Amino acid sequence: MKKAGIILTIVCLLGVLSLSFNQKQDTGTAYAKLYLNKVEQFNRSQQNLLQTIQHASIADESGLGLIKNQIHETRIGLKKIDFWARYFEPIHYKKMNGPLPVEWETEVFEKYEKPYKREGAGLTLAELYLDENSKNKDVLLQLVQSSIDASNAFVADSITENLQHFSSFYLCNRLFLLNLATIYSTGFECPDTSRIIPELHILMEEVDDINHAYNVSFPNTALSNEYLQLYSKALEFIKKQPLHYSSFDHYSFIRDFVNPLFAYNQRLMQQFHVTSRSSMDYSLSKTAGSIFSKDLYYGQNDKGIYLRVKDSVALRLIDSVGKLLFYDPILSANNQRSCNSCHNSAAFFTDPAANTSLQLNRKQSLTRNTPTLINVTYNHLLMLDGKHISMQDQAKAVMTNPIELGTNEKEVMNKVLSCSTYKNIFQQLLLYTPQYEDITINHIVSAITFYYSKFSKFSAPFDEMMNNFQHPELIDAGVQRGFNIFMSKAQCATCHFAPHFNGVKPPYVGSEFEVLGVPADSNYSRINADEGRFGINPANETMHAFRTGTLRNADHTMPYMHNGVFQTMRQVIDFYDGGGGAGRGLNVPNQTLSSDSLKLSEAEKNDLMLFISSLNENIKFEPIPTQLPVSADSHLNKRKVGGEY
Amino acid sequence: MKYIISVALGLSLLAFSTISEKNNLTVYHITSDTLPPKAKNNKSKDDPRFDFPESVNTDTGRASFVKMFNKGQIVYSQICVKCHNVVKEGKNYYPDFSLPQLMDYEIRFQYEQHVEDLKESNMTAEELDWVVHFLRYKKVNLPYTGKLK
Repeated sequence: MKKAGIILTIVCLLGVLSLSFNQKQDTGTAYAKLYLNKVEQFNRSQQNLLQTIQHASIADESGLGLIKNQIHETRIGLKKIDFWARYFEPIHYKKMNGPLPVEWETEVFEKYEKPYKREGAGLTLAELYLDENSKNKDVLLQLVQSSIDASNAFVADSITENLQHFSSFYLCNRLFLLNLATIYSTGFECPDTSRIIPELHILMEEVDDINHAYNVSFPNTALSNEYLQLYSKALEFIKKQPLHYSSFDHYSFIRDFVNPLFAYNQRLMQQFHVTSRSSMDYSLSKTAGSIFSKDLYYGQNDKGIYLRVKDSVALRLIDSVGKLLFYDPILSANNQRSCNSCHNSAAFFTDPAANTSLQLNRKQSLTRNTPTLINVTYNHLLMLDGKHISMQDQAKAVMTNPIELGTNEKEVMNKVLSCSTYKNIFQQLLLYTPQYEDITINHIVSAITFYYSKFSKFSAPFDEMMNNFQHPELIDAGVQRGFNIFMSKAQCATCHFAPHFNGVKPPYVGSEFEVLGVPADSNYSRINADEGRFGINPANETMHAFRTGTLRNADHTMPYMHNGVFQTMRQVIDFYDGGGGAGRGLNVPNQTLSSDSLKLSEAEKNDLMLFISSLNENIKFEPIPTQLPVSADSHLNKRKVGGEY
Repeated sequence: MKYIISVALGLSLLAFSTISEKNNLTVYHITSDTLPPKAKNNKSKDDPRFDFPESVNTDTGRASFVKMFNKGQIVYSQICVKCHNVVKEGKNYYPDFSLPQLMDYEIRFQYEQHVEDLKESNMTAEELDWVVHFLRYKKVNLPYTGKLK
């Protein structure tokens, strides 16, 4: 019996060893081979492009035609490795297919450092360069050579070793699905609009091959049959769709296929305990089951120094004290202005009374429109110029700004703690922040940001439509048409990305800025003088650049643009339709928006507005406090709830 | 059969201890008792717990560093100590990390466990800075003064 047990144990051990050996032998073979093949094909295609440029004339149409055709061929090669390349090496990817010549990077994980410049190169810029009036072959060659140099990185061991791990497949796939919902079908990186959907076909088919190769190489962590079947249906769907992106049904594609595929992928990631050590996954949620979940990615810490508080009683206390403070003019120098004065909770936390709110002295106006506080938490950088990196810093800056609340931290502390209600609550809450010996300004601003951020948790009818694909009765035909125009002809989706329709695009680690040429007045007499991002990061590209805001609740957050120059959504759409400031003749040499007209029809503009209205969230607002805490300083007790402006 | 079970258990135990040793993992439950009791009030400019940077040579400068170190020590006790704790001869010590190990924001995602524990929703950038400074300037072999359960 003893002997039999030992033999059985040895047999079991040999079996385990043999299995692990086989697994090692199989791991990644078919999958890695496919990758290396595709990279090699792409590199050959790039060499052909380089030779075509060297031999063709750029002075005549036939030569330019040859080059353009070869660029298109090479783009197909790029699409075949896109699934991996974007995730494995995003910096090098921008050298192969960067949409802009210069970008100032501000990724969330690097937001504590100064923004840094990255120069784009590659196929998109090469194709755009062909349309320049005066062309220099060397510039064209350099754009392609940079792409070739960058693509060499994709065969380095440090990159190819990713192919040996199942985790990287799922992480690549997650990014791929997010990009399907946001950029692949919008022309974000494809200058020739007639090629957007044909390139999408190639991309989707290639990824089908990748999926099957992956499943052969990693049978223990394979994609499920349900996933593969739905993916096949998505392929069938796009094959039946029109080939132009303006006629393509983006809405059904994303709602019925991309988003459910994303949900499957998230579930598989959880099932297989997929982990990442890449900064690309820094912000993304592991648990969000939909691209249209508000918690798809993490933007801001709205709890401030109370971030680790889980006790529901304590959280209610923080919320209640934050609410009182939000409506309390005790935070201002004159004890007459509260947060609510400009961020009026009855008007979606905006100030609809003026293009730009009044300064503390009530004589002059501020230079920028008051943005809503709803959904602020889904930004990485705050303020229209991205000046602040945390909501608490932003709140403190408003208090100490001489033309806003005009006070200082010491004065705020003294006045707030002169009210026993505030003092007692904050004293109790000190238990949760043992790293602080006393009550600080950080406790105060953390309570305020926690309070107003709760209004960012609500969803909109559009979210309901996208999250319930089993319920076609929820679909609104006008919204569907509007979304399809948004994603194509109107070019809105090249700057406003799901789920928040702001400037945070997959993998959701940075906030984007745009130069639109916003005028000083609605007659377009001159460009608005506000330097925007230039004030924070001076560079040619950042002059008049502003952070892209959310479109959620836009029907309630007028007036629009950074200076509140437009009163209606229709004016805003007309502004974009006319090619922004440059399209109206203003001198905006660094405008990031095309100056060509979008040529939108009346019906298309109306549908666009229907879609934007579907982003109005069903927010449950609260009644304002009926009274404020009493201060030991009697002259402070005349203050009014919400302030006097 | 009992031989098979005992071999399987032995193998599991061996595998578990190898993993634990490799990652230096010891799991503790954190309560308010685990906070270092003396750290809170210790503001001495010549605090023996720390090797101050050479450039910080004034009383005020050192006092302000001690304040920051104390905050770092408390946050460390709240978040890090559940995994990072060294036991020598029955006593608990703060681990001595090398400088390259004390990364800045990269530390949030360079290690699997950190992706969850050091995410921005669990530790602010300021707190991370405090902890890194505390670990950077604490004396080697500094005893852990809190309670571990």
